[in-house]
Amino acid sequence: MFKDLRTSTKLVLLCGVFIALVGATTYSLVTEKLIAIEFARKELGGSRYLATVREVYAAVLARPPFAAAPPSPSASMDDLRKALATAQKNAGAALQTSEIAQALVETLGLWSRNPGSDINHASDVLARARQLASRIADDSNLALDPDLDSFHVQDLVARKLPAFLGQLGEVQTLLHGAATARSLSNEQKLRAQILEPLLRSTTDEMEATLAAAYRGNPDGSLKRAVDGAFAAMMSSAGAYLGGLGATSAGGDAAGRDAAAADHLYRDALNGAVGLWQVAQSELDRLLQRRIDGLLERMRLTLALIGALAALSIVIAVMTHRHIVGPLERLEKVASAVSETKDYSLRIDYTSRNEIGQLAAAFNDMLAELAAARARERLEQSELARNARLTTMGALTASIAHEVNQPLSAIVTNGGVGLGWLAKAQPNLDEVRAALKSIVDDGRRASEVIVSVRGMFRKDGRERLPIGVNDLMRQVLALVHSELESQRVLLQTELFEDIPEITADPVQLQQVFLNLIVNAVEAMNSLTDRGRLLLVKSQLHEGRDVLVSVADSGTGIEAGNMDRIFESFFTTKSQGMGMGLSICRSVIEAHSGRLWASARDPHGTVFYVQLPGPSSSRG
Amino acid sequence: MMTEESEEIVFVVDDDSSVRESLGRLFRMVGLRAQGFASAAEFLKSGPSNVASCLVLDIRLHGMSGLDFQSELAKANIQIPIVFITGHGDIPMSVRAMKAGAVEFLTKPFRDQDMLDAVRLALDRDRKRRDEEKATSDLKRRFEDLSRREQEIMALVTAGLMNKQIAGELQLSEVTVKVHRGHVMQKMGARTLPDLVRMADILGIRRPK
Repeated sequence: MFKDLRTSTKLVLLCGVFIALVGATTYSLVTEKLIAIEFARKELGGSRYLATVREVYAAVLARPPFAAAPPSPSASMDDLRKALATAQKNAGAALQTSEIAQALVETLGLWSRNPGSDINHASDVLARARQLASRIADDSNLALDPDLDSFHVQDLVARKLPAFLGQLGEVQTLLHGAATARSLSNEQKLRAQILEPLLRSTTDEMEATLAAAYRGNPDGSLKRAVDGAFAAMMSSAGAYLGGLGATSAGGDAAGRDAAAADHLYRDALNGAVGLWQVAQSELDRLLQRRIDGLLERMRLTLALIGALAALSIVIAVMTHRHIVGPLERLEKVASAVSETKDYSLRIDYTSRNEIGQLAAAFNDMLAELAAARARERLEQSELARNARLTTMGALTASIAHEVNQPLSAIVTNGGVGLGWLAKAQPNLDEVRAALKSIVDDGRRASEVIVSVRGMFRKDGRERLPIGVNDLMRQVLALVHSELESQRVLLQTELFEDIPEITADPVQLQQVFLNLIVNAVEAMNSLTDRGRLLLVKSQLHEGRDVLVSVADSGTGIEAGNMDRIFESFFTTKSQGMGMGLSICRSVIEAHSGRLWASARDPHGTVFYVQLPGPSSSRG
Repeated sequence: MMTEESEEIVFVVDDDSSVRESLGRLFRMVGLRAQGFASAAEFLKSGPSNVASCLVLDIRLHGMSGLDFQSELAKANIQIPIVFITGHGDIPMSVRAMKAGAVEFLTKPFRDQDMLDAVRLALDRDRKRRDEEKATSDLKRRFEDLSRREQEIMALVTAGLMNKQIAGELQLSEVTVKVHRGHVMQKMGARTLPDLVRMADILGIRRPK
């Protein structure tokens, strides 16, 4: 089924399949990239959310009960709550943080109504903030980040730093509690003792996380950006922890050094927040860079695929234009040639490729065909001319013989007459007989001349109104001696009221002569029965003239009955096989018909049917 | 003279009746008997003639060409001089006819005298052949009349042997050879030895091995 389609259709199908494949591939590629981009964008959104959380930390930890006094230009609690609400709104449904965020906002509200007094509320704020940061990291894919550097940085930002800040806050609340109430519960004392190593271990963990992040960042940009802030944080944290150790060692001196401790705390807090800020901006930068890279690659891939598709379409179009198109033209010309037999048609296509060579070869073949046809026609006309000349030669020999016979007799008889008259006693009876013979033979020769003149009177090409019977009689006069010597009994039934027809007399006579000579030749081997030649003319279908020449000869085999009219077919030992084929073409040129049929019981009948005068056709 | 002439006969074979009749008239005018035939077959049917005769034959005959008929006659050992006539002679045809022993080859229309001369020549040739045939058959008859011994001696004599040699060869006396030799000369009608040699030549007698 497919193989019967037109080549252009096949090409279109092929292109369609190709484009569909490319489209499917492109779709899957783009979808994959878009998923990756969406993933990174969600991380980015999470990171922005975390920035707000960071501000909450910074603002909350800068206030009492964590610090000694609120900083002079401090963001109000309402502003923080609004910022949180906005961030939560921006994060939208992507992150399932609304409950925690809501709780944080409420806690912030509770705390702000009792500023600096309620330690429990402050601790709640920190706990919820930490919870929120962790949830943000989980839900915004930050915890699943595929790159090592950004994975560790988000770990730092979303877990380690909140943990550190939370522990820092806890230490401060414990210190604050100790400073105000001077009485810590045993549990609180124990907690205070644990917190210092906890803070140290947290800083160690941060260092390890950062080291891992640096390893995952081959270009070193992360280390360059973060290392300063980290060192600042570490030193401030170290100073703070050192101060803490001193405070716990000399418990009484705490009050004295309250201002210095607060200063150390602020430094540590600022260091941690600064590190957070720097790390987070680096995280944003890394994420943004990843998104940009993904977008860039997607665009490049799309451009490449588009270019390939365009190229393949161009190739298909070129294939069609340079292969299918010329082939179709070739096919069109070939079928036009076979339909119209016009061998002068040529294909108008020049190129040096194979199709061009094919077209050139095809044109050459057409030219060769045309030449061969021309040669064939020439040879045929040459052959017909030769056959005509042969016929003419035979006719001339026949005429010469027909004239020569009576002439010879005349000469001899004349000599006889003269001879007798020269004698002393001439035999006048003999002289009379000789003279009579001379007269008869002279007349006979004259008859031959008359029929020959009848044959060649006019130019052969001319069509004249002629009587078929007269024409036949002239031909019979020519073959008279032939018939006599072959002992052929001639019987004529010429219908006298036959209309005149328009024909070329010479050609028609040659046809009749040919048919009669053939008939005589068909009978010259007969010994057991009479040699009968029957020549008839009659009306056919009321207006046409039908001439028949019948013999009692050997007949023609049924299988050869049609082939005898073919060129070069002959049943005679000596013959070119042109006679009957020429006869048929002559008769057909007169709009007539020539055919043969077997005669009962022996022999063959040849029929010549010629159209009667057109005027009588009414 | 007339009787002698009328012992000769000219056969004319031509399929055209006008030509045939005119030729008959021509031959009758010079006192020759003539008989016409329309075909070779008809001529053969009429049987052989026992007087001097010749054949005027048209080359273009239907059924069998004149040239073919000529070779047929030669094959059947019918020796009759032939004068060919033709409406359209060509050189190869005439060469073939002359090689096969034709007397003349005339192209229609021919001059009367040419035809009469040719026929005369042909008849003379036939008469001469008949005379020679007749002489040879006389000689043959005489030779057959000789006794066996005489025939032997004639062969040896005509081969040029002397009586003595012949006697030695045949174990006879020289005298007996002489007697036989006398009989041979007498019976063969030879006056001289050269006469006898010529006769032996005609008869084709050779010395026996």
